[in-house]
Amino acid sequence: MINRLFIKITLPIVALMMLLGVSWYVVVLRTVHDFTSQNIHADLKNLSSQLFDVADRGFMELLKNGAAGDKISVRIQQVDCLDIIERSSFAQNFKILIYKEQNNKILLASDFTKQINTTEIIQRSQQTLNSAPIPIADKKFHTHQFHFSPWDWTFLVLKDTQAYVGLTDKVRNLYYISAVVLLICTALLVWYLFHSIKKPISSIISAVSKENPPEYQGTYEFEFLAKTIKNMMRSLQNSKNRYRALIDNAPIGIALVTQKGVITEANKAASDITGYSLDELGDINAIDLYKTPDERKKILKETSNKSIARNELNFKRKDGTTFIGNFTTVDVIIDNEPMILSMFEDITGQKEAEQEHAIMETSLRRAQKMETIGMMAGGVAHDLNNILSGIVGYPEVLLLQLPAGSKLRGPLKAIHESGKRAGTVVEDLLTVARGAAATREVHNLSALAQEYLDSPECRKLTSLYPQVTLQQQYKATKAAISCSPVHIKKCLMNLVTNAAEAILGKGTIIISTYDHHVHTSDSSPSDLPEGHYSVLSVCDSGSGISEQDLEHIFEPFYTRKVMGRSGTGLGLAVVWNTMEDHDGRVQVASNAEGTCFQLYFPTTSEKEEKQTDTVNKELVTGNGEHILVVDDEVLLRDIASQMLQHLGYKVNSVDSGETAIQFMQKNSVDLIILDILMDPGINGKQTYEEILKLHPNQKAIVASGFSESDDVKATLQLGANGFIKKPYSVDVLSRTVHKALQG
Amino acid sequence: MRFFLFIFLTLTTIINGSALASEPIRIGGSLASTGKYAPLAEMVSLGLQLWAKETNANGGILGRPVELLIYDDQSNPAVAKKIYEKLILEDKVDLVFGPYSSVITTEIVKVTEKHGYSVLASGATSDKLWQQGYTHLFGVYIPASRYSYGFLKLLLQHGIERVAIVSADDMFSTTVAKGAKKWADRLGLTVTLQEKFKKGSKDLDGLAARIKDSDAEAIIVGGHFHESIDMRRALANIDWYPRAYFATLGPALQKYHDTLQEKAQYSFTLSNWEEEGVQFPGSKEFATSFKQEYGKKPPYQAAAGYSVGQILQTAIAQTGSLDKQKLRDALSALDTLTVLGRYGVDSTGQQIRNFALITQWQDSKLVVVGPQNLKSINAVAPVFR
Repeated sequence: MINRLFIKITLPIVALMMLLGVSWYVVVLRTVHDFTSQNIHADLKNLSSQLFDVADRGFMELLKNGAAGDKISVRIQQVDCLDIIERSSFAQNFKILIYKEQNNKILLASDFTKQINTTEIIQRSQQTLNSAPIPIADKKFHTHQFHFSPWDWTFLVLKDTQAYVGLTDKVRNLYYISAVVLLICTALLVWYLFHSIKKPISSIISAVSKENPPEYQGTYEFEFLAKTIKNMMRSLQNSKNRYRALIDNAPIGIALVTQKGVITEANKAASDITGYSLDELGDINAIDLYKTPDERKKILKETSNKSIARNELNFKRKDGTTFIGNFTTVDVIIDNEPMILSMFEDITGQKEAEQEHAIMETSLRRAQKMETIGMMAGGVAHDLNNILSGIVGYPEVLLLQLPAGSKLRGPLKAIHESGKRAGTVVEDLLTVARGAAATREVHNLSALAQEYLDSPECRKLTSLYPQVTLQQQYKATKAAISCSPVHIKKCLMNLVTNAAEAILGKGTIIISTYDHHVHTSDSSPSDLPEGHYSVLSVCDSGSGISEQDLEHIFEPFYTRKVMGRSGTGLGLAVVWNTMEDHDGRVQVASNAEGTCFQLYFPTTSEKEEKQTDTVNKELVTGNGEHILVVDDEVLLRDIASQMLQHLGYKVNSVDSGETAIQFMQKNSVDLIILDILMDPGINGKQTYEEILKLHPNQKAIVASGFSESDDVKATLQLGANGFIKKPYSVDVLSRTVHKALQG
Repeated sequence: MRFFLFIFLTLTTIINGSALASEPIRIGGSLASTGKYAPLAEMVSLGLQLWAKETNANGGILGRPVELLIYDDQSNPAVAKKIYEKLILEDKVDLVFGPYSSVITTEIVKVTEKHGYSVLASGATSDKLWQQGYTHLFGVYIPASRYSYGFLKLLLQHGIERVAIVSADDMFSTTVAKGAKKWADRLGLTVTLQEKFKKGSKDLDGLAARIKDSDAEAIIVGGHFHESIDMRRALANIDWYPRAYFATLGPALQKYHDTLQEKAQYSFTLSNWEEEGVQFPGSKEFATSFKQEYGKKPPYQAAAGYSVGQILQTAIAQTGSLDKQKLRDALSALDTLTVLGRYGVDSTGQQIRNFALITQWQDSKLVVVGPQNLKSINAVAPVFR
């Protein structure tokens, strides 16, 4: 209150006026009072002198007349004097008390003696000794006393102080008038100051306090002040508007936060990103925006030793959803208060895009790697297959011819087995390269899984890891998938083998199937398209795969295993490629308690095919049908011819497509076993096309070391009756030939 | 109420062949021509009229004749009051003069004061009049309270120490008695008795007896003409006479002696003027003119009436106008001599410059026996057996 302008103006003025008034009173009035006192005493002295003269003249008259001794004359003279004195007291307005000093006999007393005993008056006057006024009744009298010795008369001259009040009253009245005038002047001055200073200032303040530009017209200075303030406010408002435009239109969230987390300022983007309205942002604490306290710790750690910190943190929106924010904080000082300028943008999409990009990049790199490997593998596999055909084929042929007890059977079987194993590796390579041919069939995923579990390979694995327990849980109700059962079982075998090897000591491997439907809004593993999937899951209780390894496990030849022990580092690459080949996806989750691989196969509505007894190794013989073997490899022609002949077929073989056409121009056969890749010269497809011109219904089986290539598919579409993968065994050849001849 | 008897005197002046064409200065007032104050009031009236005549004969005042309007107030204060109201409001006189007696003056001064008319009190001396705060009332005589002072001094000089003081109960008379007491005390005289009697009482024998019993050597009687007569007769009735008998007003008139005859012998009184007394300028001429005009000696009341005119004339001449406030201020400050003596008043308007004579009837003549320097003969204070 005391800082108010009105008080600051009024108080000094009032104080000054009071000081003036007091000074006036003390100095002037007192001076006048003293002057008056002096005059009163002088006046009384003068009066006394006159009265003395009266008595003196009377006495002198007696003396001059020689009557001073005449008592009667003296008495008369004294009474005459008293008469003169009395009349003088009326005329000059004073009181008189004359008494005999000797006996206090009153000779003359003015009428005030009715109010008070004369003796008391005398006593009082003697006490004051002509100085201070004495009170009589309700008045005060200045006194002067003197003695006329010749007659022993004591005169007490009394003058009512009221008689002198005139001057004092005048001065006092003057003082009061001055005081009143001073008060009025003060009031007028204060009013004027109020009107000319306080009022304009108040009007300006009032407008400013309501954040309105002040409008004032009047005193130049206040007009100037008002105008200046108005301009400043306008400028401030413009700045504010620009600031708001900048802030609100900024694409990133901006917030000003106190050290305690109170959000004092935020822009529209901050509101849009967090889902809180601007008002709500002011009500919550900034801490509430972090997804977890750990997120906050990250930024706190960064800001502990620097004023600017950046980090990517997880935040929480109002609706509970989270987002990744590119978060920057800057320590600022605003109005002497340390604050935190926070800027953030939702980079969730960006992150996801980056992640996707990384995934895609990884996939691309993998794919490129795969392609490179595939190209390499494809080239190698082709030659290897041809080479292996001899290693696998001739032992078979020889085994067919050797008696059962032959000592050569063992080594031949070993050679055969090694050849087959080598062939498996080549097959894996081809699978990785995605050039391996495979037929698609509709199978039940759960059944396929069980087939593997029932297979010798699985039995062999379980024998190697007796402490590992295999469990199966088939929950898939819609498990029909279009697949290459061989590859599916191969994948399962690779996964189970890896699982068993990952378990140290006792452990469990759970093989399960279940249904999974992907909706467009789901976050599906590896971005699966919408649809129904049948999932094959293999989970182990092993030691898990590190995060670092997880990024590479599907890469060909990436292995932690001891080389030569098992696998060539192609197991999971085969799984990967198989899933890619089947339009599915593989997902892996791993921690210290184990690893789970989940293979997502799109289901099909096609009918399942009857399961063929693939284990049936019985040969199917022919009835002398004429078969033409077309292959550019002499070994393969020879092996195929011997197998076919063993099976009871009539066989001719040629070494190229051109030769085969020439042969067919002149001959007709029941079946042609046609190699696709023949170099140089035309390939199998081209050969079949020409042969069909000669023999439109010519039956043929396509033979190749790759998975279904385009030429294989095209040849099958031309009408070829089947596909056989090289190197093939005699039993596979017998069944394929039989089927083709029957079809 | 029966309307009063109107006495209207218009004086026109054709002196030395010159005619005054100016508007007259009209001076009005009431003086009893009937009632108890008539004998004394008549003297005032005669004196005033003589003045007016002589003034007009001398050219008037400021070149204007003087016109007196004198009404009979019947010695009645209420009547007098109405007269002055008429004089001021209807007659619109320029000036007024005072009536006779303090009691009537007390009444009319309320009117004159109200209208700002100055009044020269040619027939009032009561001290009380000048204690009321009037600003337009001016005394001509010494105050009533001082009437006996000279006499008391005389008593002292003659060794007479015991005095009785009696008075009628009117204002003037009681004032006289109070004054007498004061002076007696101051002079160391013994007041043996102090009594009042009802104004107009004729039988004062009892009072006289009491006075005698008080062993008074002197008597002071405060009263007007009749009281002085009645008290003297009462003393005669009880066959006792003090050494000194003083009565106010009455014994100053010839009529007193004419009424009492030998009983008037040795009666003292106060006189504000005597022909044989102080010779103030114009006194002799006044006395001569009065006798010529009226065939009798002028008492001091007549001189007072004459002096009122003189005072007014002097005041008008000083101010040069009839302005009431100016005249008032002039009268207040005036110090002048008239046939009556010195005129000068104090701040209250009370006369303070004049002094009175003590007179005594001796051998059928009223002689001046005091003050000491002015006496024509010694006072006589015989002891009566």
